[in-house]
Amino acid sequence: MQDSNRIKIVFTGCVGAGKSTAITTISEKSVISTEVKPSEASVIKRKPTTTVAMDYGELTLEGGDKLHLYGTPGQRRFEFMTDLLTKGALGLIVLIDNTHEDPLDELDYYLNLNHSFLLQRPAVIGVTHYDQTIQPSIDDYYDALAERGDPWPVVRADARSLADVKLLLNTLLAILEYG
Amino acid sequence: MSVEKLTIKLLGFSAPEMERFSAILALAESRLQQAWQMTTAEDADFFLLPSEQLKASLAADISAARCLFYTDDPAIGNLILSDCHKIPRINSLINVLNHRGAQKTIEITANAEAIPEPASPSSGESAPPAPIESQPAPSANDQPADTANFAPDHGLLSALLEHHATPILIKANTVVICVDPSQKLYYCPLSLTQLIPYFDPGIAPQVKPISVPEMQELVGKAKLPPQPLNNLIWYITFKTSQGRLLQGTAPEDIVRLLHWPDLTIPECGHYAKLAAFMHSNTMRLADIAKTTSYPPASVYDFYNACTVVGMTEKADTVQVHEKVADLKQQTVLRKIRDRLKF
Repeated sequence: MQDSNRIKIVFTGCVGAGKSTAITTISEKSVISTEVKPSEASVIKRKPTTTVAMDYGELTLEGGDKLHLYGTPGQRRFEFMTDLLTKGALGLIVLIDNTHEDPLDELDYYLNLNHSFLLQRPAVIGVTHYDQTIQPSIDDYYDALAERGDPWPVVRADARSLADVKLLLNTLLAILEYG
Repeated sequence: MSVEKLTIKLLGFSAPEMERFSAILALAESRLQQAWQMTTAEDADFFLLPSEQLKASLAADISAARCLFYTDDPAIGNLILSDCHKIPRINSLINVLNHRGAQKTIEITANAEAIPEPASPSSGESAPPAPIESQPAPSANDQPADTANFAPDHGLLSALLEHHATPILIKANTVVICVDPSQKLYYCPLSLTQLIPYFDPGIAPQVKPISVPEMQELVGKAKLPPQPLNNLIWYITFKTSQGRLLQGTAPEDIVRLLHWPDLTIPECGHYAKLAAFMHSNTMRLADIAKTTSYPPASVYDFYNACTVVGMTEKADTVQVHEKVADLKQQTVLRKIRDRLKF
């Protein structure tokens, strides 16, 4: 796989945040998903299945090029996949489930995990399940990012909504172009 | 003799665009000389089209005199000025509709003069028709002049910006909004776009303080979800700025965006590029428009909305983050954006 030539965007984030769903929502063909029953206790109580290696979807661009969409596994024991998947990517969509026990800690974890990548490339933070709880608030996310010195935008998103997933991607493109 | 009610039919617009037009028309109602009503009937008085190019295919059999068009060129008169998303500028809409309405009155009056009075059956002579005063077309001087600057000291916006220590109920015409200033939340059964007609600066809302238990009972009974108050303030400012710069600000001011706005606010998602630019660069407002290709009026609307909620700051020096031009990446980004059709 020649990552330097691939046009790709990576979705990462905590289990249940909606990575697989978001890729399924936007992909023009059936998403390749590698799911198993979870083994980590923290995951078992959140979902019946979880991504073990990655999710894959794609969009065909003008001229036949493909935009490759990758979703990283949520279980932390698969975090080694992140470096492989983000290599050569345009940017990162970090999805955080706002109903998680500690969403801001999860945000911190995924930004630290991708620290080297984010020195060169941008991210957009997508907060999902915000309709179920508004705490922490979007302002709380910005406060957390400000403490880290990170400039990324925070966008409320429903991974099942095509408009919301497009907004996440378009925001990433905006930063690539003008940020 | 004047025409009191005129109908207008939109051709070639999407449902969301028609909804926005309807909202702006409602906002303009008090300043229109006739009552304008949207219709789907074939015999509408006027037809609104996205551009002159579409007229041939959409309205070939309708005379040009009954057609109105959108344009983003302020130099072209007698057309409705709009932003890139075909949202009419309220003052432009008022000017064009009042002008066309007056022309319609002249036309009807002239037709009435041309029809002779029928002869009275009791006499052999016909009485001459009574002279009818024609209405002069309104000149540009008759239209209300645009206020040079935007001041957030009117209507609903003013009520929201006032400092309140306790929850309040705001009643604007028929809508009631419950505001919890300490939590920076508001509760309302209407969505932001449905609230547009209530942004009218001419509406004087009634404000009533309420207790926390009263507020909780009210929102609990109505099962209203909490919404970020800043989003409402942002959107009202954005929609009512109408291309005017905030009082106390000049195009030469050097500014920067400290904080991204909520891009899920209606229409805000289309300003992601502007937000990205203003967040990374400190630049004169006038130069931001030139660099990003956003119309100055749009930059001002966006800047005003972000400033009123405390997301911007002024600076003394320009700081531009020079991006190395990567033509290959720019091509890729264009292709992705085209594919997303955002």
